[in-house]
Amino acid sequence: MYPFKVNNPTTVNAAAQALAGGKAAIIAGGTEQLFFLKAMHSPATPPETLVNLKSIPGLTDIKEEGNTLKIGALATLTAIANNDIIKSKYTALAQAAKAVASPELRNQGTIGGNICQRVQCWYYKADNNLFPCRRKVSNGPCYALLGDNRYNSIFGQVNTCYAVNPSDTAPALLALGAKIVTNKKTYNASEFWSATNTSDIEKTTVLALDEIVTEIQIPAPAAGTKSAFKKFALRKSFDFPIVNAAAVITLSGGTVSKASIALNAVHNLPRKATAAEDSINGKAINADTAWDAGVAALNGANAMPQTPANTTWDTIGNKYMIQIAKVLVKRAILDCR
Amino acid sequence: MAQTFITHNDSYNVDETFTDPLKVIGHVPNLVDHFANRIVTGNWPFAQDVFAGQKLFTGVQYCPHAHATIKSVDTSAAESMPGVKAVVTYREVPAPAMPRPTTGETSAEIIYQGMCVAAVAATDPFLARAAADAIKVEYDIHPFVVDMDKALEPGAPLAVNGSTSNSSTRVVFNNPSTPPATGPANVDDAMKTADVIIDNVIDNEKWFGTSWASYWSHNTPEPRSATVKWVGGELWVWSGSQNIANHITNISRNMGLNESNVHFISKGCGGAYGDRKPNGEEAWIAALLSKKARMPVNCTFTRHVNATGGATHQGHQKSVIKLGCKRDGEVAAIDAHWYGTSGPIHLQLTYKTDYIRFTSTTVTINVPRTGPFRTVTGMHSCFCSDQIFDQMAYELNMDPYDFRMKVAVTPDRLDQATNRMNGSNALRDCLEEVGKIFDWKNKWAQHKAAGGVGKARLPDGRLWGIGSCYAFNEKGNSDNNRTVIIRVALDGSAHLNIGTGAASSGTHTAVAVVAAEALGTTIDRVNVTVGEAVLAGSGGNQAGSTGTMSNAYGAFEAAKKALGRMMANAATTLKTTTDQLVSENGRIFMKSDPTQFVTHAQAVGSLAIIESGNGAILGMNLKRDYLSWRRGQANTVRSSVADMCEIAVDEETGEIEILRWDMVDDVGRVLFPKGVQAQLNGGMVMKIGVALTGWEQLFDPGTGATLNGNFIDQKNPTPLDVPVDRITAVAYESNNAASVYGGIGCGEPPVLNYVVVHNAFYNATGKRLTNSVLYPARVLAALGKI
Repeated sequence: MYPFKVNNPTTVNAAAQALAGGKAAIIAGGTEQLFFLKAMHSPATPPETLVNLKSIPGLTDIKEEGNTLKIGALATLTAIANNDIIKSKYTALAQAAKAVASPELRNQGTIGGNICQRVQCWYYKADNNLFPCRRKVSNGPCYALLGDNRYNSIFGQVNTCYAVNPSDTAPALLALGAKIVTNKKTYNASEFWSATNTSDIEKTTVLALDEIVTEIQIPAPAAGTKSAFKKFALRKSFDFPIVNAAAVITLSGGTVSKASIALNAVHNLPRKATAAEDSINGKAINADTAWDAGVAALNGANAMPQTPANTTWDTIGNKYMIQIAKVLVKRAILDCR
Repeated sequence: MAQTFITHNDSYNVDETFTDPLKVIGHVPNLVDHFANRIVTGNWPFAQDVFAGQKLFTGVQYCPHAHATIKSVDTSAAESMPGVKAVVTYREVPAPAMPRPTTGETSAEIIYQGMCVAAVAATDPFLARAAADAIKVEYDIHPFVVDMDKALEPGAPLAVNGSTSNSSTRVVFNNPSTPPATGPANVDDAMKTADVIIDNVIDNEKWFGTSWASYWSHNTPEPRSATVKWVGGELWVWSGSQNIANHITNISRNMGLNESNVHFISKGCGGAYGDRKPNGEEAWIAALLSKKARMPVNCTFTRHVNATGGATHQGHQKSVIKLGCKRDGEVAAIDAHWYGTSGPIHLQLTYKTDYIRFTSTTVTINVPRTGPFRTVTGMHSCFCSDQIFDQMAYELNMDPYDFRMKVAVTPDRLDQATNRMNGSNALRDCLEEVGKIFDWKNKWAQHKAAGGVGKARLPDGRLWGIGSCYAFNEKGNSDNNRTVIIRVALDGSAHLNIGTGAASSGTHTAVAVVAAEALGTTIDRVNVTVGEAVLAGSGGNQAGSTGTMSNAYGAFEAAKKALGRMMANAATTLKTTTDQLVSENGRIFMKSDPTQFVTHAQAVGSLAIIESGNGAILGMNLKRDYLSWRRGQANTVRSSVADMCEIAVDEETGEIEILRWDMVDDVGRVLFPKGVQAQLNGGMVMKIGVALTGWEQLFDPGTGATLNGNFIDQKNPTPLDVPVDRITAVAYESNNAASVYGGIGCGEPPVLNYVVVHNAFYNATGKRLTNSVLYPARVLAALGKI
């Protein structure tokens, strides 16, 4: 593990100042940050200091104010999963929080950390920077493209990287129309993960070096709205998603008046499935219409190439992710009936 | 998980040596593991705990390439870092420490990613690792091969420079070795008598009778670790090992030391728990660094290095089998060809026929070497053998249960591999018992009524399947060297020292029970210590596979010798002969008048009694008459196990759900009930991981590096992945003739039969998957969904 110092600020501003020099990094639940430090995984210089947000009061509250649910960035995933208001009105988020990692990690991990995760790719995250990939070395190769890409993007690359965003809560927040509040501004969820055009490919969010997520706000759903989240992983107890999906559906008179659907773990960024929303809007929900929406959600998806060079007897590729994603969208929609 | 013990030894026909009614075995309620308190309370002093605050820490630089030659190593940057006390490179290290293809010499050739190139000792572990990273190494990079099929192709890269081929083939056995007086002359002729042959194509589908078994790592929570200190010219090593004798021999031989100058402390250092490589390079690296630094040094590998840099893996294996049967199910002939990347190779010998040809091809590829593993290659053996036999039942239109019962090798037959009789064959019994628990016959009928193979569905629409399987554990033949010393102290208590590592938490407790039984004392008056290096027999194998049988026999022999001396003393005191005496509950008394007795303390006299026993001969001859075989007959030991499984298959996602899984495992006589339960439960967890959650080690086709040397990507199941309320693991107490008091090993058979899920998958879908892990991707492809 890399050595580090710990800074315990008592205000968000103090934390932001500590981060401003670029030699510090945030720690909240610590479940990801410590993984990277332990694995000696860093593209450049490791942080000298960890800025501990847990010493700042007031960042763990969960409350409804008017027509808005407000969740402090340091609320644990367990607290969100067990919150009665979230379970009843923002069901997809409660289900997503409960699907993250393991009970121990949910007790420790925070919603702010979950949405700010780095991308998932076993080449990128390999111990001791074993694979100097595109995210670490300028003009480095994408090892997943040349190797075993069973968990990589089915929607192509971003800046030649085929890693996926692994957040479970991100698609739920995206589908629920959440806003992400920082010490500098408030973002719509749809713009929070807009890392596509940044010159710093290591980043997964739009946050500046000294920018800190402080709160998540979710508008109360309209009457007749239900939501659901689905996750597929090999281990049900402790795993990153192979695919996950969230659907928020408002029904009027037996047909869908508004649909909001999102996918994750299929691309560098959480993905709003607008084609699926268009497909189901105005229709009654049944197995056929839900499946059609699932198919629409995967329009444009493609398996990564399998060639003799990157194929062994144990190769499975990532074509199966397309099928599973279709099914998860279908099942999430069906759960909103 | 539900546990049950089924006892079939009511009239236990024990050898005359064991005729006394048992007083300890089966009569100690709530017997707990001898060391459990120390382990669960963190009071087991592992190697990292030795010399706390006084030792240096090690950082290792390992090679990122799968095949390369080291051109140069520049350690100057590391050596100049404050706090770095010593640096060693591969040039200074004898071969076993940083393994090289040329045994006994240092070599610059790298043959798999993760081989150690250099190491640093420093005052803190972070600095040590940073310093190791600062070492500059230049390589000539060579072509590599990590795929066994590709290694066999003409023109494939050679995994080791200078070799002429990546493979060698031999016929392991070809029975009958001489043409019999009647019947077919050989396997080829016998195959011609078959009514049905499975060979490459079934029902016009490409199913090749071929199975691919994964490359596995134990992926243990405890990474390998050693702490060493030099005292004068003597080397003290604290490290876990399950092969202490060979560890000492190799250290002394390669360091130029006498064995008497190497002190290896395995007891209390993890024994063979967790990662159990017998000749771990961690001890070597620490020894070399400690000698230079003149301070104690600990070398503990990181998770990734632990996964790549050494043993405790199981290599890939692949089988191609041609199977011929008569219409009534009788096996006409088996022609099997195994391909394996290293290690022993086994064909399941559970099927009754005189005609078996077994050929093996060892293939060298650029992946880490294999080593000790729970039931070494046994899981491969079962998986690679069984699907084709299961398929044959369907080809013959037979219930697989009936087919297995018909073709199961029976105890009256000689083992095909060893040509010895089998003293522990409960194959049919295990299948029968698990069939009752599972209610196989009713489920089979229900499944057929629901449409049968590929058509039966559950009310929720998912495909429904059931499967069966049985197996022998092939590990009963080792001529293991197991020295046991017993000291009966002046107070009559017994202290046993064993020269083997603790391979599991149950072995030493089982040994204590056997010693108490043999001495005629109570379990609380017996203390067992494992990992005594002085007693580790040189040569042979002290691995865990036959630990219970061999150690228990050594303990029995030593205890009986000690008791003989105590009986002689007691006879003098009681003015009688030893044949008139009985030992029980720590007393030796007159059979005719139990009120006349001496205590064990009195029988010991004024000097403690010390005796020894050796379990080396165990497993090689019968302990009592058995069927038509006489006591002393050379025999082999193959533990039996049978599994049945019921699954649901989600056609949309390829997900498989375990609805029920029952297992019956022949453990001979239960010596330590909680230990048996723990082994059975652990076996079920391991099988679920291998069949379903993705517990396998993967290699990057692009670089040859290990891709998943961690707990996230190498997907060992966690407790929450195990449907404990749907699993029943049963210990079957057979009428076993192979070991002392009838107890045989129970740690390995429970992990064998993960192939039962594959058999259930065929029953559910009509498709066969030929790779170990039933990944959803493979399921979806087999079902034509992708």
